[in-house]
Amino acid sequence: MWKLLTVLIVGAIVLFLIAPIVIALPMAVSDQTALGFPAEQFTCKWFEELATHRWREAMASSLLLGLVSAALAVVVGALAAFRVAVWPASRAAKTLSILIIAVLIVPPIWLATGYFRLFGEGGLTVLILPHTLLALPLAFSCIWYGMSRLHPALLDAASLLGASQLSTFIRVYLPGCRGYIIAAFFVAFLASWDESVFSLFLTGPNISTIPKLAFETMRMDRDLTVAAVNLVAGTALAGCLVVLLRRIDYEY
Amino acid sequence: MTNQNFGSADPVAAPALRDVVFRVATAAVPLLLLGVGLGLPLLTGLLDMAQLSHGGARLLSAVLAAVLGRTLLFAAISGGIATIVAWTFALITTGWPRSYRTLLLVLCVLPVATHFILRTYGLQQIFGAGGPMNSALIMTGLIVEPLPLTKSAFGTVMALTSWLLPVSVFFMYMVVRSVPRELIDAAVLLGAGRAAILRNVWLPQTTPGAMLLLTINFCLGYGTYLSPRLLGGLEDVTVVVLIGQLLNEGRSAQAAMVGTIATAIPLVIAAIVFLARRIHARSRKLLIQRSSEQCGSC
Repeated sequence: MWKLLTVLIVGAIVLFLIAPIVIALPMAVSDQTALGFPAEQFTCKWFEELATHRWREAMASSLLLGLVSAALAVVVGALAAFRVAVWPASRAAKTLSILIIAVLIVPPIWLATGYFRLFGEGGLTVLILPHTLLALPLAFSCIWYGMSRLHPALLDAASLLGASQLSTFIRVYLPGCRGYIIAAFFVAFLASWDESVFSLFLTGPNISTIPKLAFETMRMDRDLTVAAVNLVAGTALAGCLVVLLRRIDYEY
Repeated sequence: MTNQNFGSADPVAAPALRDVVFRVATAAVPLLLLGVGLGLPLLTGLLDMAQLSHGGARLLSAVLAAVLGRTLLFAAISGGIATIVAWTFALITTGWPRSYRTLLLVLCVLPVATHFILRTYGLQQIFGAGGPMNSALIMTGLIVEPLPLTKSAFGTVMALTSWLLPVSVFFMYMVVRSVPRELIDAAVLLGAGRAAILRNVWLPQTTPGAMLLLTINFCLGYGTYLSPRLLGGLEDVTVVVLIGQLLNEGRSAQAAMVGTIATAIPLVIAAIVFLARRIHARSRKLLIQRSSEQCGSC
């Protein structure tokens, strides 16, 4: 009875999450030019469209932006997490953790108008700062949770052996929560990949990211290439996640 | 873990310069990023607010209190649901075979790779007036007419929950996996049942992670724009959707006012909670101190 109940609960959760995707993703092979379910005829033209210059460019931009901002968020998040995990009672640690989490409270649309006033429309470099900022709280939380679970004796041992703080950070703390750091990078990358408000506000007509191009093409009701992009991205994500989970299972 | 002088084999020696530099860098680098990335844009917003007329501010503040209250409620409900569901999922599946666990987690996280318009369209199809959810409810005889499950308050909460859930499930999976297996083995060896292990091992070990996730989910739910805009009702706008509407109408000074208040209110609430907890802890300490003194004089 208990086993049946747990299977039902997990099934309901997975169904709630996957059902919208099951409806949306088959549009990658639909002949229609606007969202419609179910598809009447099937085609591969959206996958052919993927190979065109503007979609390839958008994918490259999103990928580059995601990798750079995730890497920056993980580096800054790891430094902040070390500070908060090692000296939790210090005033700087408390201020840091509150300020970093508070980033999530600021409405992105309002922040985007501020960025627009400061930097105007620009290229990808303008997007790196807001994307890093949005990914920072997620990366910080992941790494901080991992670091705070490390045994305090490790710190004392490193200290007694004469290790500097930097060397303790690099040789004890970072390897000690490797799984969390990889997870933080993954989450930060996803936050950047899915972000559309800043892309819409801050990039000029010549620069596109996947969310921006998808938003523009679907608004005009003439293109479902985004479904094909998502099918490819979903497959890649699933592959990465399987590797990541194997690593986490191996470590914990 | 409050060793102020770690990095030196001699605990009374002055910290080396490189340690001081590194320690400063751990706070300065994140603060610099926050200052430039958050402080500067917010400052431009505040300058915009100075152009707001007195009448406009009064008109807006009448609407704003209701919108803010509603947004806080939506964020709390959807954040709470996402955290509890993710926690339940992670706790249930942790004992399952690895292949099942991996497959289920991949399925749960997959929505993140899908564009929000596609996800929203899928949700509209399922929960819309002619969708399978309403059809099932009508078929069972629970309702006679389709319920407004989209473009309503329910739609906003559902949109926020479905947006928060994938990353929440992933985070809680990490939290649950990091619980030392020895604790579970020890509990089993001591004869603890399933409920006792849940109550005495799993819950205490995973509660800090769940509380952290709840905070993140609340903040994310509070600041999200597109999901509530697409699935929420016209009368159930959140504060972020209101900012979007004001910006679309070219009322940037009013948008700046709403943005400033929307950012300040949760921080003020957090500060009050923090202060209340601090006062409570201090008064408790004083109480214990006084009672021990009284015992001493007895």
